[in-house]
Amino acid sequence: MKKGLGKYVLIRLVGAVPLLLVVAVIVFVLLQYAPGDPAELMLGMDATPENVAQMRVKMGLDKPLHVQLLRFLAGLLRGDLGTSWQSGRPVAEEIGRTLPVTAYVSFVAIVISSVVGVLVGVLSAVRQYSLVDNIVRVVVLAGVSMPVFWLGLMLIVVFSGFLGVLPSSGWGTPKHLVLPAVTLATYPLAMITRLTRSSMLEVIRQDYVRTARAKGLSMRAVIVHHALQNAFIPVVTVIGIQFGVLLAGAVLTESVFAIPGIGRLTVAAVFARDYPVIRASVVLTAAIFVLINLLVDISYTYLDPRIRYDN
Amino acid sequence: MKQRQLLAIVVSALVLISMALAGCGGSKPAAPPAETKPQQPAAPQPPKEKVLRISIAAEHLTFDPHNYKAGPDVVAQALIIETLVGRDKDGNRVPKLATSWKMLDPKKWEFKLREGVKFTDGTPFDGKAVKVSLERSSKAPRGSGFVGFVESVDVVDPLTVVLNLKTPFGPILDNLSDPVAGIVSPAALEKYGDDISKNPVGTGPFKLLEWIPGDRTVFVANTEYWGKKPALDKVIMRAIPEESTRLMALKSGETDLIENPAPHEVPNLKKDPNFTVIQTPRARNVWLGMNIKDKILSNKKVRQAIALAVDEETIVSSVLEGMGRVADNGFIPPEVVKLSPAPSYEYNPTKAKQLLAEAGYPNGLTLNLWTPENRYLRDKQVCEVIAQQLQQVGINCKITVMEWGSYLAACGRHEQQLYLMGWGFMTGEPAQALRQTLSTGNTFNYTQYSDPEFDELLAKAEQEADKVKRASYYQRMAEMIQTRDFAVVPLYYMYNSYASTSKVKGVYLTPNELIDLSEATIE
Repeated sequence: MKKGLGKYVLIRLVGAVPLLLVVAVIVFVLLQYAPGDPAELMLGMDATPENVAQMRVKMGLDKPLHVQLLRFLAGLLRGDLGTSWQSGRPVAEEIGRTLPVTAYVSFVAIVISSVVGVLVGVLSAVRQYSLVDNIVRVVVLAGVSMPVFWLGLMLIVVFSGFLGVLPSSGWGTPKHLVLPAVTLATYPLAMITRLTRSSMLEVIRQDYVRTARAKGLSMRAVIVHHALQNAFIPVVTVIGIQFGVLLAGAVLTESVFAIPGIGRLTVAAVFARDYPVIRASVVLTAAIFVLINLLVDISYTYLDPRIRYDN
Repeated sequence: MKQRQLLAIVVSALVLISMALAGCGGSKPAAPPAETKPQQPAAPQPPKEKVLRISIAAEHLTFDPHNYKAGPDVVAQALIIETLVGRDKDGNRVPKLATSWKMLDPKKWEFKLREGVKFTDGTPFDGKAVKVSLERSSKAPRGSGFVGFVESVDVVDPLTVVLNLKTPFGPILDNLSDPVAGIVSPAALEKYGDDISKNPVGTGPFKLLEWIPGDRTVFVANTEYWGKKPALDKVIMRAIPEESTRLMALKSGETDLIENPAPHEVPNLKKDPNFTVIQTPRARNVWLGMNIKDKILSNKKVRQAIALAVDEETIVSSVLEGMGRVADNGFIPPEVVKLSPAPSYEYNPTKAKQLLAEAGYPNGLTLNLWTPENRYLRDKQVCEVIAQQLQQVGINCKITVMEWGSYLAACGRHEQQLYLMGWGFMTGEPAQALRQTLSTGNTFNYTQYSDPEFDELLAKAEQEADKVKRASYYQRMAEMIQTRDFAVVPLYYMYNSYASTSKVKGVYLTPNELIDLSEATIE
């Protein structure tokens, strides 16, 4: 571990607590302004006004707002996320069930897109305006513009329908992972490729690269040790952001492939006005971004020795 | 040279990734989907488990019948939990857990219970079970909307109960046939309390084997079932929210039965000998409501003009592609109460124009039209067609599309003029629907219809035990809201729609949207 890094991480983590509390308050307040009565929605149109009133008491919605808010924040600080109004199960259990699924798919997707994206991006930059570069640029444009929904369906049609080699939907075996991971990887892959290419193009024109080449170093050594390391900082930032976006849940992909992930959980909760689940999932997403940003910042110190956090 | 090295790196990385993915997939002997392709004839083999794999659109949330949350809950519960009164395929009442019943006086009903029935946890089914379940349901926020009329239950002897009602309640037998009045094991209720939602114990043809939320629910046949034992050994239910994926799962042989195949695919499925489309009438209507307290719509002539200008036939044939039936029985679907003559509107744009002119709008007018999205089959598109049809007679519609939760809240503020709404007649009785949507001052009465005669008839119908007399009240009420006051324009009734491989036989879908698997089998 680098000097001062431990203290830096500690400060950042402690600093995240008030930030998350502010996020929690904001999401609480925003939900108060969301149209629709959770109790009424839960009971549907068969309910009488008395039924709805009874339900509101059961859900704690009859309490004054500040009491509801304080209960929520106090629970959060104790690590108690409450109980889902829809399923009646603890929110922690619901998230514990869905987050690992999303995390697994997202991790595989981000690994695919980072590895392939960086390699193709470098290749494309080094061979600027070559046939390879032109093909890459067209494919990247397609990748960025392709709706995941459509892509997912096309993959199902081809690999489950025509070829019959992969299951169309569901969760459980590694085979179930392939199509969703590839679908999810497409956009970040295109982004990472494009960014790696432009970042590399900038770096390989620098004097020190020319110097390195002039010293007689091989092209490969120059690219890997000199150029790539410097070009990598913006790329790592984007990888981090994309990973965070994937972890927050990709509802379209999860719906198309019927994966029990956190994206579907959250969206279902929004439609049902299941406040405890919405709040927990928003705070969790904020926490994930805090954590990923921290990891990205730490990675900078390894990529660029000039970046230090010890003062 | 350098170029080749780079290429080599890229290629080897790609190979590594694909190997990693394929490798972990191949390490397990996962059954290839091709194995169960419907077109391959099944080889003769020893009698094996008959498993039916169902893919539904949305997963159930709870197995607690008295506190169900949404439609899918009821579908799943009904496989496990039974009611006192049942209904056959034609919607007629049949004895189920009760063998006979009679009204002692308008507030007292006696039920004789079936002998020798056991819950799947071994608890005997008796009067105590009925008392515990019905009293629980009548107090639950959800259950009380249906069986809140039950004051208490007296256990006369183990096989006789008397239901004491708060007020005389005519549709009692219909409401008791709804899954919300399901009888669960009192021992299980005592053991699990509200966690009965995860541990349901009933007397039904199936019992719950496992439920992995978000993934699958597995039911096994109840080998000690009191009635005709199901031919299926196991039912596996999975939710696939996306319509196209669901269809693909059926086509690739990953599932045997799917809910709601995409309407545009239904003709192809019907032609294909490998598949069967199962369509039955569903007791669910969709109508165009009019806010009659609105400044413009308070004029009856305008409302009548709108009723005359909407062409239901076109909506059903062009937008719904045959997945609905014209609402030719009026507001109340024919599966619930067959009316004669049925109140209906002719399609007459000329007369509509004339009425508008008489009402003081010779040059047309503008109204807002609200619709939810994806609540009812092609709801938004239906409203777009309605807007076009009204345009023909000079009514300009501004369509507002809303998500369901916001829609309900907004309609409750009565700012809409025209709006789309639907209702499932789950108990097989129209009283609930008429009360909730058209009785004076009700929360969901978005038409703001208020008529003392209507309210009185409704109260009478709710207390009347005689079905024929009740039907005459409904006839009158239907005429009032339609041809006399023009408060609603019934558009269409829906169908239950499922598709299966041709190996699946005997699946029946009831008008109240349940899957009846009592006769179902798979070859």
